Amino acid sequence: MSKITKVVSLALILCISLSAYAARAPKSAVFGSAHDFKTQLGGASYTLCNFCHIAHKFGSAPTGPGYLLWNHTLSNVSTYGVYTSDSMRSTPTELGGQLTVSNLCLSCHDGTVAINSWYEAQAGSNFQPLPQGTLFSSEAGIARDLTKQHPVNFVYPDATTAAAIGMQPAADLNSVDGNGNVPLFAGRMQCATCHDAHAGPSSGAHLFFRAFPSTPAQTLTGSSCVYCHL
Amino acid sequence: MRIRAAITLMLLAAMAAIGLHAQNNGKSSIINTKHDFRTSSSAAIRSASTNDACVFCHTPHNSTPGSYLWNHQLSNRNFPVYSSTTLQSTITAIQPQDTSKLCLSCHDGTIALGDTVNDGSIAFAQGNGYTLPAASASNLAGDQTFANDHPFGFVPQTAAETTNPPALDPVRLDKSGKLQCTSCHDPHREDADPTTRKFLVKSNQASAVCLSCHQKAGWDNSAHSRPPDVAADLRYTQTQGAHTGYTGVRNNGCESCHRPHAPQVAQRLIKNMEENVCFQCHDGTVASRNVKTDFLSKTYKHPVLLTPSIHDAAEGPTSATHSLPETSVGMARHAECADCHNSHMDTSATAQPPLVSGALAGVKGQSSSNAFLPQAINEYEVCFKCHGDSANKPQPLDKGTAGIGFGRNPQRQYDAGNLNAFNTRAEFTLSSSFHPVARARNLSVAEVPSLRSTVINSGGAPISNRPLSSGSQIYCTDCHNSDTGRNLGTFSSAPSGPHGSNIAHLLERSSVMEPAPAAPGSGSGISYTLANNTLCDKCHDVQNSVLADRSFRRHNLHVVGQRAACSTCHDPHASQSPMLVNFDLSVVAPNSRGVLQFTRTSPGHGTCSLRCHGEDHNNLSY
Repeated sequence: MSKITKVVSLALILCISLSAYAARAPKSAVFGSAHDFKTQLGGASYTLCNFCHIAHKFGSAPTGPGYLLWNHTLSNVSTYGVYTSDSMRSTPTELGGQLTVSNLCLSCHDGTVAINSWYEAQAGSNFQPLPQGTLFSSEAGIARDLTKQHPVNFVYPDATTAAAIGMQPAADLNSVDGNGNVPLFAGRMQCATCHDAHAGPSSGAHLFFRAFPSTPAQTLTGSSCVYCHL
Repeated sequence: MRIRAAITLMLLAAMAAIGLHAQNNGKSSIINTKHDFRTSSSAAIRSASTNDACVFCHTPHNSTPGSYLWNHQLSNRNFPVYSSTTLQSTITAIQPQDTSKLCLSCHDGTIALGDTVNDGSIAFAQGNGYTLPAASASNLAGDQTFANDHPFGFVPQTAAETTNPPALDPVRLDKSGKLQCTSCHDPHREDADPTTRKFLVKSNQASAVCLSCHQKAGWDNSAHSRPPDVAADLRYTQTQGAHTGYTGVRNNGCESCHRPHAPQVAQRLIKNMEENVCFQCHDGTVASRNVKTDFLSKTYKHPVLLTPSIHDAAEGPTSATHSLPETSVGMARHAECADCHNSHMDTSATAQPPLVSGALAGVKGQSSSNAFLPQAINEYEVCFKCHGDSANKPQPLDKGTAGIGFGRNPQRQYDAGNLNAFNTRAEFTLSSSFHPVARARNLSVAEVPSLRSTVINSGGAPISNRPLSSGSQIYCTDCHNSDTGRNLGTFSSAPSGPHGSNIAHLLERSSVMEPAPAAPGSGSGISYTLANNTLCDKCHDVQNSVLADRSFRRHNLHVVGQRAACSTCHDPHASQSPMLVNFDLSVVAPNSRGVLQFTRTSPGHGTCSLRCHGEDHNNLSY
């Protein structure tokens, strides 16, 4: 290797590592977070994971790729509405009745299904659940009307469109950044593109927000929005 | 050495990559614009506590209903909307789905800049609850109305001069075909027009933004779009009223005269009142010729300065509110710059009679057959618009024998009791004898031996491009014109045109009438001098033909000997008698038998019955 090649390689590595730097929270970072129902609700005999996941599915739990061994009862809301705007090039697909990763989030966050509602009952606990049927959150905080939320379940703009409308082009169908730190799901943006349900305060995250790769624009604006909205 | 160069190159490349990223044209170009309310922003108006640039307007979840994930509290206020007599589109109050409503959540001045939906009331450096002040240019409703703002939230009606912006133009309508604030403004990017700024979607030099939709006929080649005098054009600066940051009428384009927000005149968004918009330049400061001074200082003038707010761009025969020619006796008369000049189509082109020159291009007119013309072809048609069949004349000033501002008004033989006495269109088109304004006269040289071969300038030299012959036509402005302007044919820095003159009847040269005697038929006339008759001498050789008795063999006797003025016997417009004989009844009276009559038997011969200067003619033949 010539000296020049070495310097170039070094500089390239420096550039790549600078732009790609992002820390993904470990699953255990859910401990102590708002998603840590074991701590919050005193469910002593439960593992923290069982509020959402179960190792072996039985009974009526829906199955399919990407369901993350999900055990929380999915919502049967059929129409959430779809965000639209005059300038938006993508067309989101209605999430009601779908089985996307965002529907997993909505199984609590549309406010219609109680937190202790499972496909595979978690019996024999000293956990004091919220009464069955109690809504997840107050009326003001419900996420049932998706016309007032950032759109999800739409195909992320292709490179040409992204360039035309000032968006960060996606590296591939699995993430915007190419390393899974801003994940896409079969090319679609979902709740989990921005949020990691496990990213509790111990990971340094706020509102379960993912740590996006640092960019000058984000530093400048003080906002993660400009990671994609350049 | 090579290694150091390589390192430098790599570092430069890395910096360029980061720099490009920061200076893109996307959302983050909002940084340090006036819309950047971060505490650390360089904008004067900014928050006291938040360093997130997006949060003032946007929120990812639970936004206000509608588009753009709006986080700012919306205003529910409605204000009067734009309207005008020439507006083709329908403008309604703003609807909830209009994106303009989002802009108005700050820009109608009713909601505090920091009032968010999901992030509380963010304190501003200007204080908690700071709203845009009423006097701020950014506050569209500081004056409690949107009537003086370019309309928004409406579907533009396309017409001959209004089109939808072309595909790929940064100026665009929303998906429902409506024009919104965002058609012209990009709230995230302030300097797409680095001179005007104002968050325009593209450079508005020479009004490129306006021209995306507004395509005024003739504009591209007009003197206002392409000023012929480049040096003069560049004198139009902020001092003269330019508000875009650009210098020159060409660069200021539409905004030389219009202003999309808060102009002085709401209708058609004209930035100054009436003539004052023209006087920005035509007062000698920008355009080299000073028109304003003609209106200010000349004794006889079109009353442009005296008739406020009566002209309307929609006026015409079918306008219910602004009929022209006027149909009602009581309607006020008016004259504004725009009655004679179309500032979108004006050029510096010259023309031969009777055709309009470039200065009058594209102006409405009334034809010699009294038909309305959207664009006058001949100059007299512009004059006939007001001096023809308008029902609101004569005005008291017209009828007086010594009307203020008009000089003595001769009452003529064939005017008495004639409804058309003050209708110049009827005069020139219906009379048997007339100056060739609306139609050629075609008299033989033998009949008009005084006719010069060309018009002469005020110094007596021929004006070579104005030949005269029996078939010639002349302009109204050959007689009615500035007494100091370049129309005189000699060097003059003053403007031509019938704006004003110090000679009565707004004449460009002298044609002195004799004073009205105490009783018609008496009096002693006025001494003949050529200087008193330079107007007639412009086309008719007074000294060597008229006074040499080449046509009427008693001309010299009457004019020099008996001190009669040309005007005493001749009507310069028209007459029902031959040879424009139409006696001035202030001077000439019926004879002792009660007869006032001129008859012509052959060229140079006829009979006359009248009483004048105490002389009685009873069928006197010559």
